[in-house]
Amino acid sequence: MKLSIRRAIDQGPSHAYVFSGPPASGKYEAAIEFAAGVLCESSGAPCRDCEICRRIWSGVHPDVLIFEPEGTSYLVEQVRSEIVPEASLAPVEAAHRFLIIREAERLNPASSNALLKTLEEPLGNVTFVLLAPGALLETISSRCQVVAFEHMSPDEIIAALEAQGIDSDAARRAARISGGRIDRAQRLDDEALAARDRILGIPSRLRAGPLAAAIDSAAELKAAVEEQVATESDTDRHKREIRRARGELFAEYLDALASWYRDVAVIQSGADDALLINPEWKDQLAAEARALPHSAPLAAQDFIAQTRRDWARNPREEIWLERLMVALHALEH
Amino acid sequence: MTYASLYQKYRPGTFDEVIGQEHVTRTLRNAVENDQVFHAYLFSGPRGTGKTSTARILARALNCEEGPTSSPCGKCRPCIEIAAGSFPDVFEIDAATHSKVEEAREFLAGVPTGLTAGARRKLYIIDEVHMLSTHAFNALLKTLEEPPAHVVFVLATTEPHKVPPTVAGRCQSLEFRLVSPQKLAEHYIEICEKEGVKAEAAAIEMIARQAGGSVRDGLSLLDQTITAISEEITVEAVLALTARSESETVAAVVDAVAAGDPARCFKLIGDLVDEGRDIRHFVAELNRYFRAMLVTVLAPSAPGLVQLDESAKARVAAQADLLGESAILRGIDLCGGVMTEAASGGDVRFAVETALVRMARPATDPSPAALLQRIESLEKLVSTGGAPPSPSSERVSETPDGKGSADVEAHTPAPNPASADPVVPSAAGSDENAGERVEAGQPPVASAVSGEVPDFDYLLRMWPEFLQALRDKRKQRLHALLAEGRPIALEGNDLIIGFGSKHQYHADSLTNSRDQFDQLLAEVYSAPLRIQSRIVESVDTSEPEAATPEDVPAAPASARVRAADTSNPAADASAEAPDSSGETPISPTDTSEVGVVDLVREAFAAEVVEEYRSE
Repeated sequence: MKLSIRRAIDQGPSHAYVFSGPPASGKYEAAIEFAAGVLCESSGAPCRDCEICRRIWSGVHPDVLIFEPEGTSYLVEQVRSEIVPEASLAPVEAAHRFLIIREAERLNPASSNALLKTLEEPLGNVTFVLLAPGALLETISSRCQVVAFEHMSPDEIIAALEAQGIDSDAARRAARISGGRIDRAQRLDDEALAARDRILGIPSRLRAGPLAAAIDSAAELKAAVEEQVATESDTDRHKREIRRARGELFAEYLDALASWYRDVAVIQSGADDALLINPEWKDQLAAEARALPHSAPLAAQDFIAQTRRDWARNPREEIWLERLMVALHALEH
Repeated sequence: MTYASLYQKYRPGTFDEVIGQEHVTRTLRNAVENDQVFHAYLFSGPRGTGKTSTARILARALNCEEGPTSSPCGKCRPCIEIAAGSFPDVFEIDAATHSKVEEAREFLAGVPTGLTAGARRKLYIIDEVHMLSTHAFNALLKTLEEPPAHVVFVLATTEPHKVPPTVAGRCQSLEFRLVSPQKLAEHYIEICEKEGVKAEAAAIEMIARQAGGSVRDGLSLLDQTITAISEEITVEAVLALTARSESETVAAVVDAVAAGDPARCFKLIGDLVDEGRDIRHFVAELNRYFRAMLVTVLAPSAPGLVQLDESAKARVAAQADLLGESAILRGIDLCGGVMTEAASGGDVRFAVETALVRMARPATDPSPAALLQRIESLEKLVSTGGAPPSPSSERVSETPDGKGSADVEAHTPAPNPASADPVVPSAAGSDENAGERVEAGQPPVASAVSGEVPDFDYLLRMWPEFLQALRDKRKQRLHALLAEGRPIALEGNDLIIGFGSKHQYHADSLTNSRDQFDQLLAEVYSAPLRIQSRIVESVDTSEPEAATPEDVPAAPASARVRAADTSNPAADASAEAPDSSGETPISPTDTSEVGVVDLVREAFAAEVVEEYRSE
């Protein structure tokens, strides 16, 4: 646990925190630990074993409320009618309440503003914990203590994977392609690697094929997401969780594609091969680096980033993927 | 059990305690003392500058049992109740959660009612007022203009531009300002004393700087620091919370950008990632660094705008000089783009790398700013008499006088061919990538016997291939040098390039860059050739061509070969041979401008379609 959180548990929590860090840097887990640390009644809290801790971890404790956006952003109504009123209620069974706001970057300006006064001086015995990948509205972060979270370094990921019995070559590769995200690194089994290889094959196919290949490639990427979600999802998973898993996979595959073009740019720059994320594809990458002008792999990054942004606003994969593939196809020709 | 945060605990209770807003507190104090309190105020200003606190102080000043007084006692019932938010005639309304017109009408209905016992004035503090809906603002208008005599409105907002002018016009507007780091530091030291916490002066100054002019931002950070430390607030403790400084990496990256070396950028970012450092933080620092360079360029004498020690300042100034204004501005733009991308949860590493390649190589950036920068560097070249840029493949607007030359040299092959830098193929074919790239354009080379010196005819035949190889490797400068000369003889291993007497400069430059040529010759001809330049009275590039048009069909023509077309240079070159004269006549005339055509071609990835000669 982070020292500053440990101290906050010991001294009594302040009323507002922002846990800021990239996706999968352990913000949510830390927030839960934080709440458990304050509410758990055993010595050496959180014990992770008592009834209170278990209920907090499973998300059913009445004084640890976890909010998620309904849809793609927090609507101002959700903030006004769900979050703000909760902040003035007395705790149900503990002495303190935690309001954990996930994906706080999805607070739009109106809903952020609706939170300001409450965040500054909540009436009840309340601690807000906002989780976000980057900067929030200045007026929000000004009212909070900001705790920074970071990705794990490749060495840390390798150590973690090796501790789980994964052999060191595979661990090394996983660390390289996971972009510092332990969750992704842990998911990289043979099946996931095969899916990734399919994604990495897309640029070469786009170059060789006619425009129709773009549409096929879009369908292929989408199919890869669907398959993976289907194999992972149990029947009774919550809809929201499935949506989250889909989004995560979609982002992961886009990142895989981005890593391809990034590697092309690395080769074109003449940098050391040791810097490649996908050295397994070195020959194909080199061929691509020769064929494309130096501006092309950079433009591809723009297209991919645009796809990611548009998808966050409106999660309809087909449209954005087809647009992306057509753009990449044009780039390759 | 909850720990009261410092900004809640040390909210100012009197006008004197408000930090750095004397212009506001003086106005309000005089108004209270002379009984000239206006019926509506608009408090505007950045976060954490004291708007809400001042509104509450005004409420106390008007309702204190000792008052109305400019220094409320803080001990009487009204003062205590106002601080606790329970005084019946002071209403604090959160406009962001009650933005609808119905809600506005609801509280407006209560405005005309009288005062409760013990109250002198009724105050409506409408915080975050910019969030009211248009209808709500309009519902407010009449009451705001002429409220009952005992009512005072205080509207507070961080975004006054969102308040309709019809509303703002009915209020006396008071603007709160960001607070200077010095004042913040004094304030924080005072608080540390009251809290009984020891603190290093430097640490407090650091917090004050980080606060960015907002009292509350700094207090939040101070709070966090106090939570984290065991005894004394130290610089290390603050640094641990505000993430490690990346200033060394930032400066090195800027060096690489200025030297036009994307490979080095990739390497530096790779190291950052390997160490598990926070790339978002790095980008923020890079952005600040670019800003420091901009200030250095635009306002070199303005003190205090950039806080750096002397040696860092000198480095920043040198780098700023090397990059030039438009490159710096573009860097700031690109950093901004990355930060936006980071906030939306994208992969920051790829975004940073893309931005850095674009900074280092303006030609890869489609933005108008990049075009502008490339035009500027061309203008610079033309105005300095067309002296070639020092590193052959660079397009950044660096001056050729060798400023920051340590970094330029690091990737320029000429002075140090054995450099370990991956950009430089240190020996023939040793760099696998370079080898592959050449190979694609060199199908006939494979047949040449390795190590054996070919005869002169073969050399001449292969000459276009060699020129093409130069282009493939983007050695535009070397190519431009050769355009004025031609191979005239082979003496042992020495390949003699003849230059006309007008081209002494070219001949000398060729000799200076010999190492690079030799390396390429070895790659193309697979033979240990050495290049030599010789001034020959009569040698004019067009003359031998006229003499032996069939033997050496493509020598000058290769200048027309498209840089991008690597598929079949031999066929390409010979196919274009007949109209090669289109290129040659220009050469003898532009003695001072070494390959300006080449420079334009390179900077804009353009090719010569047609030439117009002014006779």
